[in-house]
Amino acid sequence: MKMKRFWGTILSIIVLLSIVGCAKTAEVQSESTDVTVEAPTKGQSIMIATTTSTRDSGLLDAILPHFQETTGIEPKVIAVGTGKALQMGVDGEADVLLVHAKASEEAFVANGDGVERFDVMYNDFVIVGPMGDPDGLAGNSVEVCLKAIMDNQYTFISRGDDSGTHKKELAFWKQYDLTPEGDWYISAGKGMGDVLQMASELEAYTMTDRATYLALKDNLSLDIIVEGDNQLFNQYGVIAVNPDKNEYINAEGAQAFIDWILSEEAQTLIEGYGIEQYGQPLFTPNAK
Amino acid sequence: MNIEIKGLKKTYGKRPILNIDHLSLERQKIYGITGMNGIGKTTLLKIIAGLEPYDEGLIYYNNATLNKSLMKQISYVSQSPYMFKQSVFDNIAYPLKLRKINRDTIESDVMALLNHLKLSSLKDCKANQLSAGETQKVALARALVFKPSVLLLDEPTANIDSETMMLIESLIRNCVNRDQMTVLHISHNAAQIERLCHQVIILEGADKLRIL
Amino acid sequence: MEYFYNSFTEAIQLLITGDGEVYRIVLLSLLVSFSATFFASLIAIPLGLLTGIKNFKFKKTYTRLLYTLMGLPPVVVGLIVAIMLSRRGLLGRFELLYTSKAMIIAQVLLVTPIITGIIFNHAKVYGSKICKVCYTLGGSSYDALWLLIREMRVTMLIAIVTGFGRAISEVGAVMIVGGNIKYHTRVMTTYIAMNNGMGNYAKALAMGIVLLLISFTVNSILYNYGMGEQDEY
Repeated sequence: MKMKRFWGTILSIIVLLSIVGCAKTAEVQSESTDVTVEAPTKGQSIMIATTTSTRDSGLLDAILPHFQETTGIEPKVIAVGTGKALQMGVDGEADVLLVHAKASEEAFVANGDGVERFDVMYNDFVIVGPMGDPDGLAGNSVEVCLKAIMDNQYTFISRGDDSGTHKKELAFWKQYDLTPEGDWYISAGKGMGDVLQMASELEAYTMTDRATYLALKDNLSLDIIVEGDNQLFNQYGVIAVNPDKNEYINAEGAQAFIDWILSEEAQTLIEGYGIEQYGQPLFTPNAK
Repeated sequence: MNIEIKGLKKTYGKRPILNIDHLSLERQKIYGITGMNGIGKTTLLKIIAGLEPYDEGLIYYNNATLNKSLMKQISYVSQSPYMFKQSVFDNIAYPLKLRKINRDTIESDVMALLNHLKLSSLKDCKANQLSAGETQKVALARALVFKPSVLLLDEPTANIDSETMMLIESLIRNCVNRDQMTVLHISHNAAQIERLCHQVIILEGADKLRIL
Repeated sequence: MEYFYNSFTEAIQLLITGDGEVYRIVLLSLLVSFSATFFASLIAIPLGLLTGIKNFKFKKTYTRLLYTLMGLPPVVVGLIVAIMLSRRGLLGRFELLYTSKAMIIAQVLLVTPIITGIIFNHAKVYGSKICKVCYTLGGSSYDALWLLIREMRVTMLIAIVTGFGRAISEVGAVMIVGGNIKYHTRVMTTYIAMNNGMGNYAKALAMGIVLLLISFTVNSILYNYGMGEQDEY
């Protein structure tokens, strides 16, 4: 009699599992039947390695459904640091990369890891700092700002994760012969969103791409301190991973994605993203 | 059942526990086993029950060595008996269920024991919530319900009041007479041994044994 | 404090309005963790029982190993599984990395030692006692095993629930082997971590509340079944 209850429990667990399992299968099925029939590559998927800042901006969530509708290919986006995204490309773990570290991207292609690199869009970097600009650094050039931060040991958070943003930041320090060291310079090893959170909490400075900042602005107490400097330009590139790396790479799908994101349709979508929400576009499309 | 032990040796690591040259136990007799703590009484009982291995020697049960069907006729009650997480009734009925006895027989046999031991009121109680004395009664009933040929008891009345002790002793005597049971009964209670047992085995060392 | 309160009320609102994405994520989390616990139990219960009651040569070493495995850091398990399952890895041909199957695998590895350990512990103490009583009452090894399972019902339930709890609340392994891919491998915990990083505290909290509720519910149901038979421990 007591045994019945026990097996009853086990049975309910199994039943629950099956229900959930069926629900999941049903979902997946209904998803793929949603798509238009014309695309020859229907039912496929591609692995897009991109950066956390790109994901955090929300752009991909907005435009990728159009890609899926048009081509029938399902985009699976994995958002990691630029370093890891490139490594995933080298390891053949992704089909296509969408990152913003031009020098590294060109090296990637030169090494034979990628097929070809194309410009997709750009945004710019800005230096943000505590709301209200208590240290009075606003409006200065990057050089003046960074020097002031270092001399006064204002807290500065660095991405510290080998990302495009991180590389840009390091390039700046180097350019002005500054070596940031000490307790005030925090190497976070985290994504852009996390770093902005940290900067907001600690009333510190950091360098960020404008898109991520705008997307997260309402939850932060940070203002833009320096912007518009030519050198703060942040170019995004798309690269298909060399399909010779292994047999799992979806070269066809990757090419379809590249073709699409460089197309007028996608470029227009990119241009329009953000206007409604933030009053300004987050990215400027510049595919050739 | 007649039990004959020849040349039994048991060591625990380097320490010799038992070294019995010859011991003969007859049916329909109650043997008391006594001796200092740690001398090997429980070990001897467990060996006879088939629960503990031994190093050398032979034990004959009705002139045969221990096998599955013989084991089914041997019953052992440990010092702190484990009660199943079921009712008292179900605990006692378990050995009969194992032997696929029919329900009515189970009902009557179990109730008979419950009545004799004055446990009927506890029939449906959870067996693992009983007092020490009640537990021992239930354990004994469980050990006896299938009418074993050999009953091995390890201090079964250690925590029990005199009235209950009498009930238990009378039950044992009844079973011995009715079923020709052989009983080995470890006890420190001299008066009880005097009262109940036909013979006493006193363990004084690994190889020193006296029989009275 | 006001800030926290605002996030909290926003979270409740999100939950009430019933976001499709949220349901999907919850369903996926349940599927992954239930499956993992189920498969883990299939291995762990017999393993725990048998190794608990039997005395074998390296039992002491086995015990230590088991206890160590119980405390395996999820993120380490995730890392190792990810390496194995990557396209270049030993098991790359199954293309499992960044799928929910990979998450289930990782969680099975995490949860099996936990369930095994709890059952092993109990079987070690009570197992031989129960078996011996069974033998003295005339039972066979088969009877003894059956009795053991019956007597250890509650322990097994506790073990399973504990395993499930660990599975559904861990974030390290599923993040690494799953990649938090929208619609595919985004579960409650990775969703919370991601939204926290993006400053969407309301969303993170909402999901956190759901996670707590589920944890609480599962525990209550199973405990009610198990503890219906109260006993001493």
